[in-house]
Parts: sequence; structure tokens; C-alpha cells
Amino acid sequence: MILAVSLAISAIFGSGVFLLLQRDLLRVVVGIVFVSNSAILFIIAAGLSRGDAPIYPLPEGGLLDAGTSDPLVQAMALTAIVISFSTAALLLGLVYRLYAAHRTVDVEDISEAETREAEALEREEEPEREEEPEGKPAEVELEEETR
Amino acid sequence: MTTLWVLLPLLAALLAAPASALAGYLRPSLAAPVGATLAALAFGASLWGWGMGGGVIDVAWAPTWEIRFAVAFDGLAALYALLATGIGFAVLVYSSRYLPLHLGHEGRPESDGVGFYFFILLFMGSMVGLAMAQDLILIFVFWDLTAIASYYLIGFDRHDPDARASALMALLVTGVTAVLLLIGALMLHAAYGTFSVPELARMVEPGPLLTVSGLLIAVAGLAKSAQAPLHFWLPRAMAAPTPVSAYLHSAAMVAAGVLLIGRVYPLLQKSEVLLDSFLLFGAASVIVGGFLALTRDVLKQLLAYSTISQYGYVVYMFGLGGKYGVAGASFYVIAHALSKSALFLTAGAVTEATGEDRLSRLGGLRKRMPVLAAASGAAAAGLGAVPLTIGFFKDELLFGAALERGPALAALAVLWAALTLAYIWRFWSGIFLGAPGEGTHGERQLPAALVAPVVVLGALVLVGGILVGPFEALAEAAGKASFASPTPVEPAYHLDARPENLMALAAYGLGALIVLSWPAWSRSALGVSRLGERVGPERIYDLTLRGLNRLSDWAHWAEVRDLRSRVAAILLPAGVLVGAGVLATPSAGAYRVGELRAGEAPLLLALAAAAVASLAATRTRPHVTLALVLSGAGFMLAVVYAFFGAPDVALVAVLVETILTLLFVATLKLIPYEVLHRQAELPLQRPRRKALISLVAAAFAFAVVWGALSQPAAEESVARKLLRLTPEAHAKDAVTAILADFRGLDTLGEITVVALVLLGVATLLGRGGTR
Amino acid sequence: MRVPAESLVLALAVGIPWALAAALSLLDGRKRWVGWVAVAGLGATLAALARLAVLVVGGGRVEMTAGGWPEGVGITLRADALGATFALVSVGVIFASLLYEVLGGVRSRTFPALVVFMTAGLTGLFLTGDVFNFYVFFEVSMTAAYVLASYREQDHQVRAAFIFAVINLLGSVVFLIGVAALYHVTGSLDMVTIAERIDPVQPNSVIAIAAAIFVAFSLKLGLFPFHFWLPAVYVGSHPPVAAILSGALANIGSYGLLRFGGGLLPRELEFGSAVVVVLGTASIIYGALQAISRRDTSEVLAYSAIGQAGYVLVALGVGGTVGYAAAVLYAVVNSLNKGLLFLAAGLRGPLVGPAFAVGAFSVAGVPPTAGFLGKVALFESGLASGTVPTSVALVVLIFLGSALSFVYSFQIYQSRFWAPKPDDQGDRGKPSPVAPRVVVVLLAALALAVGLWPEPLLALSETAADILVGGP
Repeated sequence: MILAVSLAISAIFGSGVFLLLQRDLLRVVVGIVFVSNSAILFIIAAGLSRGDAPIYPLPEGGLLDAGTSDPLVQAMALTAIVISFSTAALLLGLVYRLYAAHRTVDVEDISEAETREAEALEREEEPEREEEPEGKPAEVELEEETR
Repeated sequence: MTTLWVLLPLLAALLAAPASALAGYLRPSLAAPVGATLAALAFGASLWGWGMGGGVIDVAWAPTWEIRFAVAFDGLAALYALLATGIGFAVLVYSSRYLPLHLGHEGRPESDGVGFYFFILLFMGSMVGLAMAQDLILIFVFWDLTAIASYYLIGFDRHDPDARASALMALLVTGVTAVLLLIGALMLHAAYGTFSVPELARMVEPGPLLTVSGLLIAVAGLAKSAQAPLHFWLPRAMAAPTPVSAYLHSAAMVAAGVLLIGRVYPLLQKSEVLLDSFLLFGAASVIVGGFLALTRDVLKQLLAYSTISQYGYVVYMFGLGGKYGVAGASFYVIAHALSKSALFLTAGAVTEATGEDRLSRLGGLRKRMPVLAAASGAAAAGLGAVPLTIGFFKDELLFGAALERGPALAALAVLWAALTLAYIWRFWSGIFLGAPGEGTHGERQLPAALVAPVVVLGALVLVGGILVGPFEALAEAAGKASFASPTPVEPAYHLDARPENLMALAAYGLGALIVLSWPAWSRSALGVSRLGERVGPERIYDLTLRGLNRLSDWAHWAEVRDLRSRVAAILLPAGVLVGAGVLATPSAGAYRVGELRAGEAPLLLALAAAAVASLAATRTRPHVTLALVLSGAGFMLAVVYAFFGAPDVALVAVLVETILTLLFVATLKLIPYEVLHRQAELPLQRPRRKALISLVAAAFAFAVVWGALSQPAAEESVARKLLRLTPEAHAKDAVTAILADFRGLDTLGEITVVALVLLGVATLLGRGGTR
Repeated sequence: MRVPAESLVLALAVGIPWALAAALSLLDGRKRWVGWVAVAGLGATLAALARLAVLVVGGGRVEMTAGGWPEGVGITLRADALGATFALVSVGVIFASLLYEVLGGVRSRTFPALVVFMTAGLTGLFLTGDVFNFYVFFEVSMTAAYVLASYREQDHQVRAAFIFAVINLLGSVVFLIGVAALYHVTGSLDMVTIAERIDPVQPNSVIAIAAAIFVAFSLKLGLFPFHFWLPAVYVGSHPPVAAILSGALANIGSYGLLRFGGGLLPRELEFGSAVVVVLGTASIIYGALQAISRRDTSEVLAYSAIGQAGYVLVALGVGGTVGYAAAVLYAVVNSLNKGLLFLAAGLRGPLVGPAFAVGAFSVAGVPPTAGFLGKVALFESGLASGTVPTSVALVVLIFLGSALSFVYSFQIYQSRFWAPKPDDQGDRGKPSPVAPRVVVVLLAALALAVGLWPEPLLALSETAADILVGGP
């Protein structure tokens, strides 16, 4: 069972990562959702006991591991689910914002546009870079002297 | 606490900078007089302090690190404090006239001068502090303060690219080597538990630790004193206004280096290696500096190389050691400071009057500026060690110290003295003697304030040549502080044929020979010096700096092109890190497959379904299908949670998954179909590589997860307590009790995140929509 | 130990920003009075934190358990020297940045609320004693940061914010996995208890957990090779946002590494110290090298941040009281530097140059600025690290990094403030408003004051290190 759960978690994590690597922003968001899912599944699996729902009245000898599931991991999982859902929603908002700015959802296209702009910026500011000493003054002096 | 007056010189010197800045803020013309007054006060306080016989103040500064604010007004402190404040005063008087002219040439407002006075006074204050400091960290603080002050002064004409580059160079060379001083200090502290120089001097034993830490400290001192091969910043520092050069070369920056060596000399002299290295660096500087001084045409350049050479003597004398060496080094500093500051001020005055700064275009000025010619003649004679100047004794002491170490070193000393005589003659005669040069036709009159300081300094050089007593006393006091025992040296004129006198005569003769034969070999000398430009340390500095910039450009380009915005760039190292950790630790019994209990088959099935659904998403192209797969995977997980005995989680998961899918579809709806379609139709790029990276990431997750789950669940658990306490929280469902009560803070945080996202989405869409 | 008045201070420090943020989110932050309310609230938080710092500087702790439940059941808030120091400096930087923005005129409706939300998250995570609660607070501050980061100077640069969010979410997930794993093997979420129970656990699985947590915090801190997202976020960010991200948010990384590495998993940290030190020095050299030829001031600062994070990591790897104290000290000083520099980089006019220069000298570690303390501490820890060869190698590398920091700090300083600008003479003619400049000058004065009177900071960092060495 342990192995099976671990495999499932890493499979979900791996597919999430695969989506994260795509150039399509929407797929990236799905990737983040998957990655979060894997973490939540892990939280649940990390419970110290597994059994019935931890709701009173508890089964016979219910306080102990055998009968009841660990309630704490469930609470943690709930918190994590809500948080990851919210952040996914925020990411969707960002995707839309990016689309609105660039008219594309392709991260490569967007990055190309930005790189072009950055290069233009660096070219523009080139004259500022005179801080490198050119070592000229002394040489110039010598040449004039020998003349 | 009765010795609080010890602080007086330091206080006066440190207060000078802010006081002058304040006065300058009120009225720019007030900055100089206020600064000069305080400099004079500090000079007076130093004299008085010396007369009182010194004293020590030692209070805790940062007890956690055992750093103490320990200052003492001993002989060494008196010597350098008097130099810094005395010559500082002269330089300030000079600047009060010079700087308005300089700013006028540059077309800058008078208020720009306030910063100048601030930094030159800061320079003075930190020199006094450095002279008095007894704690290595305190020394480091004042040390770097002088670097800051010099950085701003060298870069004073900041619109000039050369000034900027020179300032950067001075800062890099002296600032970076200062770090070595710090390292040396920390090494000593680690071994002996104190930063106090006197205490260290008592405790330190010769050995590798002393050699290494001493060498580090010495390198800092040598770089500051512009000793070869770290000398190249000094000639470039000529970019500063002339008064700064005068100060920098005689009493401040460069003097700080030998001051440091003098201060830690009680430690250094225990190591023969260190003394020998001083001989080496000193000799190299004397030769390089002296030789290059002969070849320079620009006045200030010539003087700059002369300074390198002269401080080479001082370092050399420290290396010779013995009472002559140590006291002689201090005496040399005094004599050099008086002469050199006068000569720099002369150079500035000449350039100011004629607009010319090259020897080859100057000459014959003795008629137009007789007073300046005489005063600077005295100063030059002092540097050239002519009798009846203070300089005579400095060479006498040098010869005396060299003689103690054998004839070879003595012969070298003679040669060097001759070199000095030759280049300083070239300097003075080139300006004042011979036919008027082509650059001397200007008719500007020299203001008295530009000449008076030179006259005073030149007079002091002569006074010292006749009445050497006070200077000798000062040097001996300083020598005593460095040598840790009295150093009576008794410089005096002896009209007999003792070796020192013979050596002096030989030096004069040799010097005359160099001057006379100069035209014959000037060309080849220039060739050699040009070779030095091509392969010398300055060239290395340039290449390093430029190389660094180029390397940086290249690395940046590589990063932007290949790495930025690549999630893979982060996942790979993460996977490798975890993998390495797992491989490096014993894994016996760390992993369990876990038994499969009866009735768990549905759970297994649901797990498999969730995993397959997620995997399927990687192959899905159309976005709407993707949304469906997303929700499918989510629902499968909800089923898993249910089987895990977590109905609350399952319910919420269903709910959240539904809303998320709706949101996703809504976003798809906002983006035109063509854009999405085009995106979906794009072929996968480098699918193998991405799959590989995903596998690495999955392996990373697998290692962590399997490793953790294989551990037996902790026996003691807070969960049990929570379960038991649930009725006390008036709840039936333990999960609800935890969320609402035991860990309510988490829930509050969770709600905060939701609120934040709402806030964020609202603003994002609000702004995005306006486009 | 648990005196009610002290607990009240702790509750106030966490509660004030939270309540304030909730209220502010309903108001229009562009109104002057709203901005000032936010500033006043942060000021009160700062005061509470300062009081806390005074309470814990001797080595004590202030604790309180939420809801009055027994410790371990409820969430324990726990202020010690480590947490209080980080909270104080982070909120200090945020306070200065908010003040700067309010004085210069807030341009976005939600800015004050978001900033105060982030403060709430940060104080919470520095002062909590519960690992899952740490995660929740961490998400609060990160979410605020995602939204803040999307306020760009130019609209088209949102990609950086997106990447920032994605990568940090990934980091959060990895951290969450680590937290759940810790719970599984120790049965507790309380830091003290975890530290007590972790020892007998099989090292192989703990090392994997430790590595995951290390990765998560390295991401936050922007450490090489986990830093690629970082420069793009800082470049083009609104100056106060960059100052907050670099001067306050990045502290999560340093704090997390110290707390989890030094406090909870010291055995694993020691085991991996070689890796940690190597990554740290790589970060130092790489960040500094990248910074050298950058033209944009904020890009230089961003890469500088990567290098400076490396110093924290090196100190952490050296470990022991000396190393941890150096790490705390360096993180604090670096926050101050980055806050000062990012804010100053956004201004023009008199007094800005000197303030920036103080920051530049501080980054280069030149006394009497605060940065020199960091340098001293770092060399000290370098010298204290184990054998002679490693010591020498470390000292040489730190020296190299320090030399490079001179180069990039002053190249950018000179080209920014000294070199005449050929084109935008007009631009130079219109200086920024006086009030934000005064904020920057005050920050610079603080950097000088810390350098001149270092004892409080030294004592705090020493105490923090002692707490780590003695248990969390």
C-alpha cells in the first residue's frame, strides 16, 4: 500500500511537472494544480492512522489508531486544498492579464518579446558604460613625450 | 578617566568635517575657514597631547565580539596626528584659494566645494583616528574611512571619465586589500582572543600563523602606501585636485600604509620572513618608482612616482629593522611629508599660473616666481638630501641602517639616493631654470595663499636641517612605539670621513652623473617604461576589470537565453540534491512496500485512476478536454480521500474541483478560440527532454514520499489528543473541531489567502481590462 | 515564563497587521488618510516587535497558545531571539517602504492593504512555533507578494510575476510535502517536539525531507541554482515593491533555513554542510559575477541579492554559534542594505546619491556602515570552519566575493550618480519629492548607526544562534 500510494503521488507530481514545462500558460496552471494535488494526497496519506471518519460517536476503542482516521491531516489537507485552489485562481487571473497584454498565452512568445525589449534597453544605455578604465591616459602621455 | 584629554585631538579632528559641512551648508564660503580653524585646533591639541606625554583610553565598544574602542596618544600617534593636522592645515589654507579657481575652470558652483572640504577633513579625522587606534578592528574602521574619503576626493571631478576610473581604481586596490587586514586581524583574534595590538605584541609567538596574518596585514599597508606591484593606483590618483594630491602623498593616504606597519611592527618584527619581504617590496618600489619618476613629463606624475619610491625607502627601512631602521623610517616620513607636500603645492601653483602641467613645456619661471622657486628649491633639496635640510638626516639614517646589514645593501642605498637626487633635480630645474618654456606665457598672478603654504613648508625643511632636535624627538618617540624599546638615533652633522658621509658624497656624485648623462639614455628608459605600461600591473588591473565585465555579459546572456523562466532549471538541481542525499545515507530498512489489507482494493483502484487521469492530462491537446481531465483527476482524488476515511476532505475536494473547473472554463472563454486553438495545435517541443525532467522530478517526489511513508507512524501523536479533546470543543466531527477551534489560526490564515486572491484578481482584471 | 503581559505583546505583534489589513482591504488605499492609517498600524506592529526583541534578547522566550488549549493541541506562537530579530528587520523594511510610497503618493487602490497583509503573514511565520501554521502564514505572505509583484512599472512585464508565482508555488508545494513528512515521522507539528523526536528516525528518509525543505527555502531566498526567476521580478518592479521583496520577503528563506536546518534538522544540516557551503560559495561568485556588468540598477541589486544569499548559506553551512550568528547578522544587514538601495534607486535629486553610496559601501562591507559587521562575522565563521584547508578555501572565496562586490557596487554607483547623462538632462533637472528622499536618508543613517553601535544587533544574533544550538 505504501508503495502504491507513493507511486501514485509521484505520478501525479511528475505529470504536473511535465505540464509546468510546457509553453502554454494554461497548461502551466494545470500543472501547478496537479502538483498541489499530489501534495494534498501525500498529506492525507501521511496520517498516522487510517480507518473510519473521525466523527463522534467513535467506534469501539475509537480513540486508538485502529479504528479512526487521523483527523489532523484531514484538517491540514482541507486548509491546503483551499489555499492551493485560491492560488490557482490567482494564476488564472495572471494568465488572463498576460493574454491581455500580449494577445498570446505562449510563454515563449512573451519571453521573446521581452528579450527583444531588454536588448533594446541595453543598447540604449551603452554609452553609460565608460566606467571601465581604458588605460589610455598614461599611454597617450608617453607617445606625446617621445614625439 | 583622568586622561580624557587624550581624546581631544581626535575629537577636534573628527568634528572638523561635519562642522565644516554645516558651515558650508549655511554659506559655502565658510566651509574652508571653519575647517582650517578646526584643523589648527586639532594640531594644537596634538602638540599639547604630545607634550603631556600621551595616555590611553580603552572602553568596550562591542563586547560580544571583544572589540574595544582603544586609543592611545603615543609617539607614533603624535607623529602622524601632527602630520595629518599640520599639513592638513596648510593644505586647507592653500585650497581656500585654489579650489574656487579650480571650480571656476570646471564651471561648477562654489557650493560644490563644501563636499571637498568635508572629505578632506574626514580624511584628516580618520588619519588622526588611525594614528591613535590600538584595536585592530578600530584600525580597520579608520583605515576604510580614509579609503572612502580618498575615493570621493580622487573622484571629485566626477564629470571626467578619467577621474571616475581613477577613483574606482584607488578604491578597488585599497578597499579590497583592506579586507586582507581584516582577515589578518581575525586570524590573530581567533588564535589569541584579542584585537588589541599591545596585548597581541606581548602574546604573539613567531610561527606560520604570525607569518600569514602579518603578511596579510602588511599587504594592506603596502597597497595603501602604493608599493610595487600595487603602486599603479597612485599615479592615477593624480586626477584629484592638487591640494588633495599634496595631502594624499604626504600626510594621509599613503602615510597610512606605513603608519599601519609602524603600529603593528612589534608583531611583525618577530618574523624574519616579514622583515625580508619588506626589504623586497621596498627595494622594488624604490627602483620602479625612482626609475619611472625619471621618465615622467607631467609634473604630478613625476611626483607620484617619487612618492612610491620614497615610501619604498620607508618600507625598506622597516625591513632593515634595528633602531636605525625603525626610528629612521619615522624620521623619513616626516622629512618626506614636509618636502613632498611643498612640491605638490608648487606643482599646483605653477599649473594654476601657467595652465601647463608638463615639464617639457615649462622652464625659466625663477624670474616670474622667485619666492616660489626658492621655497620649492628648499623642499626639493630636502628630498634630495642636501646638507642643511632635514632631508640630509633622513639619508644619514638610511645609510646608517643599511650599513648595519652589510656593504651590498649600503651600495644599493647610495644608488637609490642618487636616483632621488636626479629626478628631483629634473623636476625643479625643469620648472624654474633654463629658457622659458613654450607653455609659460600666461600672465596670471599667483595669489599669496597659494605661495604661503609652500614657503612655510620649505622653511620647515630648512629649519629641520639646522635644528633637528624636535623632529628627532618625534621620530624617536614614534620609533619607540614601533620598536617596543627606545631608539636613540642622534642625527647630526659630522665633519669627518665616516661611512655615512662618504656614502652621501658618493650619492651626490652619482646623482650628478645621472643628470648629466640623461639625454644619452632617456630614449631607452622611455622604452622600458612603455614596456611596463604594456605588461605592468596596471595593465593587469585593466584587463581583469574588462575581462570581468565581459565574462559577466556573457554569463548574463547565457542565463537570459537558456535559463530564465525555465522551471526545469530549478527542478533538476532539486532532484539531484535529494537524490544525492538519499544515495549518501544508509538505506537499509528504510523503505517498505507496505501490506495490502483486505478491502483496500477500491482505494487502490481509485489511486490508479487518479494517477492515470493526471498522466492523461500530459497527452491532452485541446484546452476544453484538458479542463475535463483536470476535473476528472480531481474527482478521482476525492474518491481516494473518501476511502482514506476523510469524508470532509472528499466533499470539499469535489466542491473545489468543480469551482476550479468552472473558473478554468471561464478563463478559456475570455480568450479567443483562435489563440487557444493555435496553441493547442503546436507540436510538443523537445518532448523527450521534458519527459526526462519530469521523471527526475517524480523520482525526487518519490524518494521523499516513500521514505517518509515507510517510516512507522509516530507512536506518540498529537492527533490522539485532538481526538480526545474534541467533545470539549463542543463538536462531533474532530476535523471541524480542529479547523474551527484547536487550529483556528490556520483557518483564519486560509481565509486570509482567499481574501487576498480576491483582492488580487480584482485588481489584475481591473488593470488588465483597461488595455 | 508565561506572563500575560508578554503574551499580549506577542498577540499584538501578530494581530495588529492582520486586523488592519482586513480593514484596509475595504478602503481605497490611494486616499492619504488610509495610507497613514496603514503606516501607523505598521508602526504599532514595529513597536510591539521591538518590545518583543527586548524581552527575548537575554535568551528568553515569549509563548502563547492560541485558544487557551494545552501546548501541542492549539497552535503555539513562540517568539525567541531568532524569530523576533527577523520579524523586526522585515517589518522595519516594509514600514520604510510603505512610508516611502505613502509620502510619494500611493498609485494603487490595494497597495497598503496588500503590504499590511504581507506584514501579517511575515510576523506570523517568524513568530509561530508550529510547522503547519508556518506554511499557512508563508502562503499568506507569498500570495500578497504574487499580487504585489504583478504591479509592474510597465504592463508587459507581468511574465516575471507569473514565473515568480509559479516557481514559488512549486516551492510551497515542496515545503508542504516536507511538513507532512515531518508530521508523519514525529507525530507532531510543534517545532520543539519535532526537534526532540526527529533523532531516532531513519536518517535516509529524514535526509530526503531535509533536502526538500532546503530546496523550498533556497527557492525563496533566490539561491544559485534556484534563482533564475529572481532578477526578472526585481527589474521593473516598483521600487518599494522590490525593496519589500528583497528586504523582507527573502528573509523567509534565510529564516526558514536557519529554523528548519539549524533548529529542527541539525544532524542533516551537518551531514550536508559540504553541499550547503559549496552552493553558498557558488551563489556568492555567480551572483557577484552577474551583477558586474548589469546596466540597470535594480538588476545589479537583484544579482547582488543572490550573492548575498550565498553568504547566509555559507555561514549556515559552517554552523555552530559562530556560523549561525553570522547568518542571522548577515541576513539582517542584507535586508537593510537591499531596502535602502532599492528605495534609493527609485529616486533622483540631492541626498539620494549619498544615501545610495552608504548602501553601496555597506554591500561592499566597508565600515562604518552596517555591512562591515556582516563581513567580519562571515570571515570569522570562515576561519572557524573545521580544518585548515577548508578554512583557507572558504576565506579565499569569501574574499573573492567581497572583491567582486566592490566592483559591481561602485561601477553602478558611479554610472548612476557620477557620470553625466548625455540625453536626459531634463530628467536630472526634476528631483523626486523631498519626503521619500528623507526616508531613504533615514535608512542610510540607520545603516551607519548600526555600524557604529553594533552591540544590540550582535547580542541579538548571538542569542539567536545560541537558541538554535541549544534547541529550537
